Amino acid sequence: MSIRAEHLSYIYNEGTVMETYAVRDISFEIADGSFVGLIGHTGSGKSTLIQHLNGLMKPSRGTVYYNDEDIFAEGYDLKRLRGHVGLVFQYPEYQLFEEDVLTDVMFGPKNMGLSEEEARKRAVEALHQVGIEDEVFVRSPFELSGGQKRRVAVAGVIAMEPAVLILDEPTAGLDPEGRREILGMVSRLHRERQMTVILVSHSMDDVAEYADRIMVLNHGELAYFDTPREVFRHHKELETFGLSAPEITYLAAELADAGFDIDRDISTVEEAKAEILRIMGS
Amino acid sequence: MSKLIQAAHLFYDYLIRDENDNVMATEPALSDFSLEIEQGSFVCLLGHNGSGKSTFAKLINAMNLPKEGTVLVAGMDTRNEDSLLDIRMKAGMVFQNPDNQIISNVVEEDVAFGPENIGIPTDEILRRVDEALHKVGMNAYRLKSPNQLSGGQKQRVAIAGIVAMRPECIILDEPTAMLDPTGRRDVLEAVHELNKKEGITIILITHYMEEAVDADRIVVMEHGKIAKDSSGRLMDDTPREIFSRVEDLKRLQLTVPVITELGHELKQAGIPLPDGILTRDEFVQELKKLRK
Repeated sequence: MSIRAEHLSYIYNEGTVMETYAVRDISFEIADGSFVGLIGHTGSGKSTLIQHLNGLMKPSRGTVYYNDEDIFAEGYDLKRLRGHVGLVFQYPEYQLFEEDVLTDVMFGPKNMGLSEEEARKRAVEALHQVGIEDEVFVRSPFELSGGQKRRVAVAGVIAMEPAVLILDEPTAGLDPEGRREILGMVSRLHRERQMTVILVSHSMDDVAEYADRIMVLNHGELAYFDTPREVFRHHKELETFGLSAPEITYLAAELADAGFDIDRDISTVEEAKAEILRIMGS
Repeated sequence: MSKLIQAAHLFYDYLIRDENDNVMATEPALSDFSLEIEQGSFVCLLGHNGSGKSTFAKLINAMNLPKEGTVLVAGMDTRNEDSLLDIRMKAGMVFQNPDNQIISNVVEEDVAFGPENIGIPTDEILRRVDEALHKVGMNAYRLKSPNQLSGGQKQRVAIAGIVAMRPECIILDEPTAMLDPTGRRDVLEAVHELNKKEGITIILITHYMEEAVDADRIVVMEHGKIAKDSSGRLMDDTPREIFSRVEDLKRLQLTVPVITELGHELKQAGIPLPDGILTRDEFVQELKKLRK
């Protein structure tokens, strides 16, 4: 069980002088239950790539396999796929539209053909999972705070009980508490429901903390797909891609240069704390 | 230093209306908020969503008017309609989404829009556009179409559009929220340059604590006023002082920069580091002292 891309390319204006590759010849396999951080500069192809994974965009070349089935083959049920591979767009709160929170979250499951009753059950469960309390269910989604709206929008996708959850910059524009809430919730879904997560983010600190694998796109090409440790080891290259490494990775390098016997390839506060306590001998 | 912005006892409410436009409820956004900002300073406003930061920003350049209290910009009252144009020239705003702020098909035309609008003569406009694009490091792109630019470049064009108005103050409301790391860094560098070299007063609203480290002053907001720490002091001080109060910031649903957090964690684990370490360099120096 996995998502596998094979020689995936998406070309704008193919065959004209304006021909541009949004993604170029990308191949990878994401195993079930992994937490992948997807990073890349603006315009590197992240959003284009993820829209191929649930069949919203059709590749110019190559294809995507979900559980070994070619999702772009004749007759493949894309609607069913979208129940398995849930995609939360950037600023998903702009897509809330129903009169109350519960009805909004029920839209996805109902669309999948579930009964009113089953859809309601799923919606309630999803809302609890994202930490929205019962008294909010009857309120208009437009009265909620930014962080709440976003959690309701995520619940709308979770209610379809996808096996894979893809989130495109889910924390953009949120305050630190809102960011922590969203990421904590995603990490819980990953742990408790073994959901595969693909998290698109501009925060290197966040992907370092949560992801077990990091995928790096640069000008539409797959530059790295490896553990955070291996990827952030290449921080000089990442900088030429318009990215950076987490602050902690830079700090570790500076401490090592100053003669401290510290592991250079750490990337989180927790790792740094353990390393420094070790080298300071306490 | 003179006070460029003097806000005294501001109150502002958002009105929640029903379908028939009757006011159903009022949501207070500022309540008895006072703040003075010195000319030439770099001030960072922090606070969780809904704490009143953006509301205050919009009162500075008279996009909204206070329900009670006064805002003076360079001595001009924002409620005086005759000063409106002067105030907006003195205090320009940059918003979160770069795509909503660019209107022309060519970068230099976009930057020229403001000065053109207030009737500046053509040769003077050209001079200002040239100057403004240089100051934000975007001169190489002057003939490009904005849709060929990255988010960070677009934000710098938006800033140039304000610089071309020769402002005394720029208010930036989460200008980097949608940018990648390089875009974020470039925008902040441009803003710091404008502050240091041109003496433009900067008011930066951000949710990224790292961006507040180099400010002259941080003001933390909560419930429409300046937040207080556990001992009752106002959270209005230098970055080092503010970020030393890790527990207070957490209570206010904020965080501290990653390096400060690491220092704090280590201190609690028994390593005698000082409070409020802000940068990697400081951290390395402090740890070296302990090694000896």
